[in-house]
Amino acid sequence: MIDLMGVSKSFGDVHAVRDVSLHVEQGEILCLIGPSGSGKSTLLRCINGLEVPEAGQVYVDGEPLAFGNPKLLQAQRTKMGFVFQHFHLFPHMTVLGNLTLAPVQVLGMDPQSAQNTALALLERVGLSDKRDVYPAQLSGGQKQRVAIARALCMNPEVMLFDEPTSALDPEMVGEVLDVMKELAQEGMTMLVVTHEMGFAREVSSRVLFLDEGQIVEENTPELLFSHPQSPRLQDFLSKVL
Amino acid sequence: MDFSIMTTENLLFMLKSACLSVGIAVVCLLMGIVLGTVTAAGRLSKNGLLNTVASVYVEVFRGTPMMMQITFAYLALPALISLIAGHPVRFNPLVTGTVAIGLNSGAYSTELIRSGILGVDKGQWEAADALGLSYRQKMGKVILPQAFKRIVPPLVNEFITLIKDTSLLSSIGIVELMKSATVIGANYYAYLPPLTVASAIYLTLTLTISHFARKLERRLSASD
Repeated sequence: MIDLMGVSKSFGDVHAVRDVSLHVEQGEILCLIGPSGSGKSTLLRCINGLEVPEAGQVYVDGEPLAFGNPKLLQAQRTKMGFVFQHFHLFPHMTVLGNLTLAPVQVLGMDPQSAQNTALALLERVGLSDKRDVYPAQLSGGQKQRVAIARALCMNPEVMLFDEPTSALDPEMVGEVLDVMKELAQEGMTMLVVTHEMGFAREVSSRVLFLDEGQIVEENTPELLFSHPQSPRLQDFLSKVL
Repeated sequence: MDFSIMTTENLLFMLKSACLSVGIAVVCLLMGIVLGTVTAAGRLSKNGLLNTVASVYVEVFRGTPMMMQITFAYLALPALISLIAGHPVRFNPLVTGTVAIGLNSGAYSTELIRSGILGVDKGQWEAADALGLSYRQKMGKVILPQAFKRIVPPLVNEFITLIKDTSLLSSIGIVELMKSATVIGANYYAYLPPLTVASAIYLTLTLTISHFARKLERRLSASD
């Protein structure tokens, strides 16, 4: 479903991602772990074209991301839901407005069915009562659940999560992870950049450990956490576990 | 000081002229907003030519005195066009003056609008991109509505500036508030009363507008 071929991205002198190749099957749940600055967020942002790789190619459903063709790139992006660390809800719209904007504008859904989809998704993330509220009135955990629902409204084939719980107060992490676990159980293809080792261990089908812009080690969560091979992963795990 | 020359007739004359001043300022503000939006888009675009054209326009109009622009437009430009057209051309002073100030205001509004747009959090652009919105949808539905809140207060200040700047049009014979005062002064060989009244009218206008601007600003920031 998603293929990366030799993707590289640098910012000035910093090589954030170096020559990364990756194949993701439908239904897989990938967790990307690693120290901060290891390039995991940049890698995730390359997948939906928020960052333009300077070398290599990203394929979605076998089709290369069309950086030179804005129309096609937009269509490709609708296949991928993206959840940001800092939510990035639209502050001038209600929760319902946030959810229905893209389905109506981009997919051309009629407003009534977009609203029905949005309400169903709000119920799924447990926020039906917040439909007419503005983002400023929500807690961090609620904002992130709305952001997940907003991405799901586009009926994506894959969900990309960029440190979805890192900006949350500890007591709100659980409610967001619960929504994500539920999604995983429903068979959604997911790529999750996270520092939540418990989540990675419990939910993912494969864990990638990144350091200095490269995939240093990848394995099933059981093996990766219990039998880390590389010294760098051993060092990392000793610090976070 | 003898204010007896400020008869009802003269006062009405000045008030009518004040209306013209405000009217010109309104037209110039609207011109400036339209121009400023277009030029701000040019300055924000990655297209080198658009960017250069927009930058040159802004720098020229901000870098020369407004008095020069008005005089140039009214006295020098017709000569140039006459030369090209091969027959004498004359410009209507009201239209010429209004366009000149409108162009000047556009240059200043460009910067207001540009910084308002750039002030919108980068995450908002990314969220709109990630949802697959087109550039037009992103600007229209996500960025501009948020930029608007930042742009409105300085635009009100721009309006106040414009009301004062219209006094420069007295130099090309337009009887706006300033000119009406000097006309009355010249009639009676007494400048103190009409200029005092004109100043009071300007002050009343600008204070009233800034009062409402503060109210508006409070209301706009309330939804944050």
